Amino acid sequence: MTADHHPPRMGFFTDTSVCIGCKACEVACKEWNNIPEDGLNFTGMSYDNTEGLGADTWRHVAFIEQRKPLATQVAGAEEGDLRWLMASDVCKHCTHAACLDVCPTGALVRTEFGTVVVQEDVCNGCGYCIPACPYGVIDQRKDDGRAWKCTLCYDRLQVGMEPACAKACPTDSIQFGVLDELRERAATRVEKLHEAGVPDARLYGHDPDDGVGGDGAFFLLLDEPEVYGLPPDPVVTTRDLPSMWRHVGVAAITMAAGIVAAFAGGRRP
Amino acid sequence: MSTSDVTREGLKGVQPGRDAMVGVPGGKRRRGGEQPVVPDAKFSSYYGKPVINQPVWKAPDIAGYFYLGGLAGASSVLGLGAHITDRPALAKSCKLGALGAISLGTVGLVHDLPEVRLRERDPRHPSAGQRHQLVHVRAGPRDRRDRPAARLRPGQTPPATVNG
Repeated sequence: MTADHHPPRMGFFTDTSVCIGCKACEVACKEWNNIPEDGLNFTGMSYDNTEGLGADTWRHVAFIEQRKPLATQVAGAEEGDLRWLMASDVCKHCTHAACLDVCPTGALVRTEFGTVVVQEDVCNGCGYCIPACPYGVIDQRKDDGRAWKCTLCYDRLQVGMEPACAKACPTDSIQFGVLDELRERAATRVEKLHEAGVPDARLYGHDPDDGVGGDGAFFLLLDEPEVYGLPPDPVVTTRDLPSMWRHVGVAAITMAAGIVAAFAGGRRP
Repeated sequence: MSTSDVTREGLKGVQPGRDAMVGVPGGKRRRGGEQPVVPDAKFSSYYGKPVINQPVWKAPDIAGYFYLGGLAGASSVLGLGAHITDRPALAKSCKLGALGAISLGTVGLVHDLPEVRLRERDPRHPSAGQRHQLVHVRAGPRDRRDRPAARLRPGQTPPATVNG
């Protein structure tokens, strides 16, 4: 098998306009991937009790309550009416993945499906990837020390199955498939929503020209990305590495010059 | 001067209808006599949660590692200078200082890792030949046949391209 013969890049299209907040994806993910329990807390954040993505939460359903009627979708909606936004967040499997770039052990790899996976037996818990992720996805499991995140169910993909969360989603809010097909489907969907009178509908992470080269898992949102806790303009954090190394170089040259000057100008004892 | 409220820009003190915001009460907005053209910028977040995860490094370990690394580098260059210019006492103390600092820095770096042991030298392992041979070893029994991902070498170009 040569490098040319690989499966197409797979990904998620999460259409939040049909998400009902059932959290079946969270449960299916935990069950399938055998993720430890990480607290059943009352957060006071609407129906959200997982707070955000982390080492032990690979799917996170966000709940947003807004005093904003859903445009013409709700007949007779008045100002002050409550609307719910629900969105299932997940690792974005970036084209330019900073976590992968900074991993010194090679524990993070790009799979044949174009996804980004941590090999848990190689990871040594150095933690470089954690602040590197522009989305705050990958995190350290406290009692274990290693970094964990969504694998896009690599084990299921290898045998031709779809990931557990997409399988469990009852409304097909989470769609799994070939990334190019998903992008086409998403473009059609957002057009339809605009025609139906939802001007706020927008795609997030679908553009291959954005700061991370496009996401393998992208979204259809009904409000600004910030509302969902997503960065509006994510950038692969390793973009700034050349500049950082240049600064290190300047500092090193300055120090070397100082030392040379000290010896050249110093008097013999 | 006209006393009418009607101007070329619409009614005085009233936002034109095309600027009306969804969910924002309309009416007069007077602030220092100037009409803002765009609505006030509002910061929104998901319940005030940060977007990026906090680093998990222990501050004294990693900051100490960087400091000691710099100290060792500078000391060794000074030691080289002293060696070349024939200052044996200075050269000795600089070299010893550099050695001590780099050793202590390594301790800090290793101490920061959750639980470590020197990895068995398995040439087939993905991290063989890598600079970092320190790994975490709490995982249970390993069966490499179960992990095809391990066959991918680090630094290997992604098999899937950007647009499939």
